[in-house]
Amino acid sequence: MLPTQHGVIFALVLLAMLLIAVNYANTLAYIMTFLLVSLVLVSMLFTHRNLSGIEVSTGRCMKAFAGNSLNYQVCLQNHSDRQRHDVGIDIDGEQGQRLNLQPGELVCIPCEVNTVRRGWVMLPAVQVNTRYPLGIMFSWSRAYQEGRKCLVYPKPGPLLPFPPGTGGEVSDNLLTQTAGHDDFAGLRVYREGDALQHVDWKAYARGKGMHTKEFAAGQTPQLEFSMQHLQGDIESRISLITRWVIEANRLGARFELSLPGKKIPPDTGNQHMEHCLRELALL
Amino acid sequence: MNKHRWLKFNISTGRDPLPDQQALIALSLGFALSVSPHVEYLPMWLSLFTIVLFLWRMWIMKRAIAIPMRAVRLLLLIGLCVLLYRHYGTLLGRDAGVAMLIGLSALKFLEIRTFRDCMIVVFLCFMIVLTSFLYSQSMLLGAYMLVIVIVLTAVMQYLNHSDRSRLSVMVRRSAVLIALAMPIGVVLFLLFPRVPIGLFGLPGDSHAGMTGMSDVIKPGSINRLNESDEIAFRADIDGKAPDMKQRYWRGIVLGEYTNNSWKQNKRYLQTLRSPQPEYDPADALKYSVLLEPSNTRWVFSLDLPVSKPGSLRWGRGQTLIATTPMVERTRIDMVSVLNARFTALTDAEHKRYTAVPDAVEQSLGDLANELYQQTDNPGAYIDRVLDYFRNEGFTYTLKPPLLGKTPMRQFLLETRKGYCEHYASAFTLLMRLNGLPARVIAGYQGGEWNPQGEYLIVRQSDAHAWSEVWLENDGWVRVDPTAVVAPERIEFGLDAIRLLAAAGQAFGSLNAEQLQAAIARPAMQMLWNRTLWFLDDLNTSWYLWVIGYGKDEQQNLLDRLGLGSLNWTGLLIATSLIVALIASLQGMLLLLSRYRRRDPVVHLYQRFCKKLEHIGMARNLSEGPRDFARRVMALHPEMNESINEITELYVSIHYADSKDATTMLQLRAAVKSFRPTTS
Repeated sequence: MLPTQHGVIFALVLLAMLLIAVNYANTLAYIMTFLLVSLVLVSMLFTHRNLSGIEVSTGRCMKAFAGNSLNYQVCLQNHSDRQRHDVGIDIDGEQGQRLNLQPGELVCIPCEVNTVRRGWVMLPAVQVNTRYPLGIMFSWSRAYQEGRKCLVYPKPGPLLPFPPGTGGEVSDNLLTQTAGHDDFAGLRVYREGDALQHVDWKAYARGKGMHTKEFAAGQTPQLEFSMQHLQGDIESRISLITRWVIEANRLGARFELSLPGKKIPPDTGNQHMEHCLRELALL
Repeated sequence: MNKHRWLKFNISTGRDPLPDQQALIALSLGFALSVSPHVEYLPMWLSLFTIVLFLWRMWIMKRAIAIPMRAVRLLLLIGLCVLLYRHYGTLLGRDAGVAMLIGLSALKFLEIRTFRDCMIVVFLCFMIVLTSFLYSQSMLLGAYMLVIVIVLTAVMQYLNHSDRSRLSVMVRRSAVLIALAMPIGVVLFLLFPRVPIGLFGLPGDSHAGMTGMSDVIKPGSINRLNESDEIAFRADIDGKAPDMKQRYWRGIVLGEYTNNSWKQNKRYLQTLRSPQPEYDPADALKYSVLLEPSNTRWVFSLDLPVSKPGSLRWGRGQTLIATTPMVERTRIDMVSVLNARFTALTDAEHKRYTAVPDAVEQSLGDLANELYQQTDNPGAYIDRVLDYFRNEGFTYTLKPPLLGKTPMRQFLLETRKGYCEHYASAFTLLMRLNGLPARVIAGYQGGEWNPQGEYLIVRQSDAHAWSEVWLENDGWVRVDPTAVVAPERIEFGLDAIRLLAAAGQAFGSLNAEQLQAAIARPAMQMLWNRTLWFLDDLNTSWYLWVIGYGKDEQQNLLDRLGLGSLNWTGLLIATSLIVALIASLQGMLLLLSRYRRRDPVVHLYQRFCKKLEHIGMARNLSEGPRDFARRVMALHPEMNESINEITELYVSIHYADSKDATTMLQLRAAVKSFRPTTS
């Protein structure tokens, strides 16, 4: 904890007050000076307390591709049973707004960083600080965040024709197909990441929970994206595959990924795509 | 209560809040309160100047126009300095300095642009409050200080708070802060080493306005008596207070009459060990006087003091004198004997107390001779002179005519109007003209009994002068010629004189009952008096126990605490240690007891269970969340959806320890919107 500039000025004023009190041996001046000195001391306790019980965490990282900005959240939660006043957030030296947090309240602030490379990106340090209550003392705390990093997917390259796949030709007419929707195979419990259009909404409305309709495999074309079969430097190959993965998923195609030393079995769906993108990002 | 918010990371609002209208209003409130104790001492134009600047700034805020240019502000500053210099003749010292501080603060208010300017104005307000104690340290002002410190602290909080809630909330919080600051404040006040007065030397006017008794009496030179109700001193007497007629407070012995005025001898301190008065120790009256600061050295004691406290010195003629001018309230313990005899008189003293200037001899000799010839001994001569005052048309008045070159002759033979100084002076001269040693004693007579605090209050308006004549057998005898002309003055004080004068009654003409009726106060006024007595008692205690706390009192306290041997560095260290101890205790109380860490996840789940309890589904202690959910869902299938969701979210966070803030938000929202129904 340090005095703010105003705190330094106030200290000088207090010194002047003490000198007046001593010089005139004025009892009331002594009383007032000492009352204000102890006010400063007590306010320091309040300044310190104003940050205690505040937990800073990183909320969900949004999907981001290298070169774009990454959106993520910084969340503050007040775990104490008292209101916290004017808690400032300093992200990488930039002072954000001050927050008033009710007991138990959780506040999330969307933030963004610019990304350059694929892979893990370390999020900028977050500092919470406060000058409550009198603005003469400044207390801060460097918030420790577990997993203070977000994954950045590779930058998608130009859209080239898909490599020849098995079980059918993948072409533009896939876009017009209702990819395999007519071959209903069964229901399974909804998992996060399943396409919403595959959810059995009628069952949901009957109160049976979220279920995802599965469709028979084999009917959809199956693609294989392989690093080894491509030419060029590693980053452009990764970019190219990244684009294919996105496109294939958009078309609802079934695809597999073979990377050096790693193979991801064929599958469909968002979760599968994210899995693939993750492997590409960390390659 | 438990809501969540989504906000944008907004850099612009992270800065200190800019002064807005509410901030300015709060500031002007604080400023007005700070300046108000000064208003009676300030020149009128300065108060107006301050108000105009404040209104100007408000107008600027309202119209959103620019603050006056630098040149305009500079002109205002120069104008302020010039006017102050013309008013005070200086820019230094207490009065001019305080006026300057107030004027500059008003100028600062006019040019408020940033948050910092606001804070500086608050600091200046604290300073202004402090300087008001250089004028008065009354208890009322002390209480006012406490209020205003709370208000100014609230203004500080208000300025700092981004969320401009009501000022009254801030006042409440400030009161808590100040209450918590008190213990440390008290320790600092008691233990912080006191240095002797005058660190840099006191400015010349620091004791201006103190009223003390003059040690020169020049009858006929002033045509008004000091009628001020200001208190000269208070006397706390052990046992019963003497009668009104006995309350003569001896102060200064005036033994030399030159140039128509009574003065004390240049060497007024007693040098030799002089004889002591004779008295019966059983008659000794113990009491203490609390003298208001007078910037003089005269100490007033009941006639006649017989013992001397160590801090005082004996003056010639059995008076008590302080070693330095009393600029603070001073408490002195004394012993007096009302009927003591003091017979010793050296030849030198005999000569000094019978000396009369030639001019007086020429102008008054005839009258003195004439009066003396009608008697045969000194005692009878005293009575004869008093008879002369009583029967020859002398009157007591608070506004006597001015007297010329031979004032005493004019008074005795022509005007015959005067107050105590005239009578004491004329009487003493008439004694001396016939070889009787005599002197004028200046002091106070009377005093109001405060039944609330059981002490006497003696005011400046009780100032009095009387005579002492030395008689062969009796020694020095007090003779008060005023008592002959206006016995009401002696028995009832100056108030009675005023009442009688206002009613057009002649002094000394009424019998006791008529007098009582004439000066009786209405019941309402008695009630008022009682209130005043109560307040005065409170104030006296305040001065004795709080304001009077100085170097000596601190030493006494330290001795009692066993810290008496510490020098001031040791004392500073001890003080810091105690302060640190209190602060850490307070810190522990603040941080530990009130900070119960609650797991918010568990808390949310408990809320969910509470809601289910309302429809009769209480969770058994041994039941796991999933078992509980299954049991509830079996009975209430219509709620399957939400129960399943909440339970799964809870289990995933609480047991899988995936503390994802977003999942937390989901759980919170789900619990919040969960509405169990009994259908």
